[in-house]
Amino acid sequence: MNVGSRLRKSGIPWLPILAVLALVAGLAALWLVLIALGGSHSAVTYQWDFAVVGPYLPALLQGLVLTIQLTIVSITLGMILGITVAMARMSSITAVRVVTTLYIEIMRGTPALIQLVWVYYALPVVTGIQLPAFESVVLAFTLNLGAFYGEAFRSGIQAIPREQVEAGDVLGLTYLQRMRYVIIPQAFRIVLPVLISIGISLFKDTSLVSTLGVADLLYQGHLVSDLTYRPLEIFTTVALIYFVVAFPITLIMRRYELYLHRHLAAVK
Amino acid sequence: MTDSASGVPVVQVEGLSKSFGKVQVLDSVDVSIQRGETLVVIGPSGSGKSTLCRTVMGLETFSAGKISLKGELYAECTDGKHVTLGSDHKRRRLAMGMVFQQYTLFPQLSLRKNVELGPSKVLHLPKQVVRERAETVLARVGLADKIDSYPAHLSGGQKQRAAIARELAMDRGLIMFDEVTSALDPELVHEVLQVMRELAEAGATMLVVTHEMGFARNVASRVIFMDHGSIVESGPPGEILDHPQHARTRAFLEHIMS
Repeated sequence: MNVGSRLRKSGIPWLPILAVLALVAGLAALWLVLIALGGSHSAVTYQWDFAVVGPYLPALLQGLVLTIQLTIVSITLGMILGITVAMARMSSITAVRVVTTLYIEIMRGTPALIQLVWVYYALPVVTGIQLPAFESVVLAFTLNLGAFYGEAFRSGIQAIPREQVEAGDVLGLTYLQRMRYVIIPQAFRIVLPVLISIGISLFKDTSLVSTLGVADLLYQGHLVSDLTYRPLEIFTTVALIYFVVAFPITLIMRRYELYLHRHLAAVK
Repeated sequence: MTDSASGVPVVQVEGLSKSFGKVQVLDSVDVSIQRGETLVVIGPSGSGKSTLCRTVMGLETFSAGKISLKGELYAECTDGKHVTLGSDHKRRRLAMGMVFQQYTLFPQLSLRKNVELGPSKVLHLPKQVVRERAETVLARVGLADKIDSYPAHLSGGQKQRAAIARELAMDRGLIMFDEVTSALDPELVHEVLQVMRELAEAGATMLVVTHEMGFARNVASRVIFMDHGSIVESGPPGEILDHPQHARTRAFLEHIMS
């Protein structure tokens, strides 16, 4: 019996944990090598000092909490919007389809930073409604994600065999019931990898809000960096924090995906 | 054996026609099914058997003719384009169901959930009734021990029996079987036909499209032979299968038996 199957049998997700540990160890080793090289015979005389990060770690983690909140709220709302967008995109009414397509293309074809600025600065000018900063960026990200999730869901929905839809119809389910009980659960599984990668992109893209003065992880990084005059150590730590959150999510989701494939292989 | 007590057919199809472009898929088909009857439709592929099923089920439109359920208008087309739906249309889901050639179980749901979906979300039966009914129908098709399994873990024959159970749970007047054994490995065909045979013997009203001549001979109350979208002849199985009147029926039977 090989190591892999023995580990899998234990029921504890050892493989992802080991992978994370290996990666962290690898990165640490890389830093040690770089520091060693920097200290000996190169023109770079920068003295790395990660000890300065310590006292400011709570401030950075405080920023991380806001980043995670922003990510979770935006993804939840974005998915709900995305399902609606997917259905509107497949509507039999031409006007609905055209407007939805236009919205999707605008959101996909413009930089997220500019979308944030639009909602934060331009929306109050046009509508007179001034949202608080957090709500404002959540709105911008929701609109952005709605387009991406919408297209993902649409491709998933269209990948479902016609017989599944007909079987739901024959059973007597209404259009909305077929969506809810038959189509969306299956489409969700088909597009899961895409949904995850969109979500992880968003997690990192939330760092854009630091430019609007929202105190997320990167914003806190800027503050601490200004206080300590140690931007390299601080921003490296910030990057590491993003990575440490995002990478295990990828691994966990990949396992979940395998689980789904084993249990719910498409009925052929 | 064919005659039923009540005179009003469960389904009556009159002059049903349908064309895909220039191809006439159904050519003024007349069929009626009495309560308790097992009507078996045979014929070469492309003869319109499946289309007949799907049209009666409301999955396809048609260009002429009329369909009635228990004597009430269900759908009609007189101008060659628009299908007018009778006031009975919404009752279709309570009047008939269908089992497909492809296994159309919902893969993300266990067998129990597959079977419970209709009774709970369409018929709005109480939870306890729904649960008991799921257990009863799955036991009836011999899958009591698979109630918590997912479709991906079943053989083709088991999936098809589960699909039949899902239909039985709806407890509708008519079940149509659209070539339900055609996608199965030969050794799995028997278990599915056995379930269908038991249903027929228990008095279910069935319309069965099949290539299984043994089933037609032993289970059918009436056999219809279709070719090129129209009914060539119909009658008791012994008559159609052993003494066909038409050359086309004879040619088909000789071809399929050889």
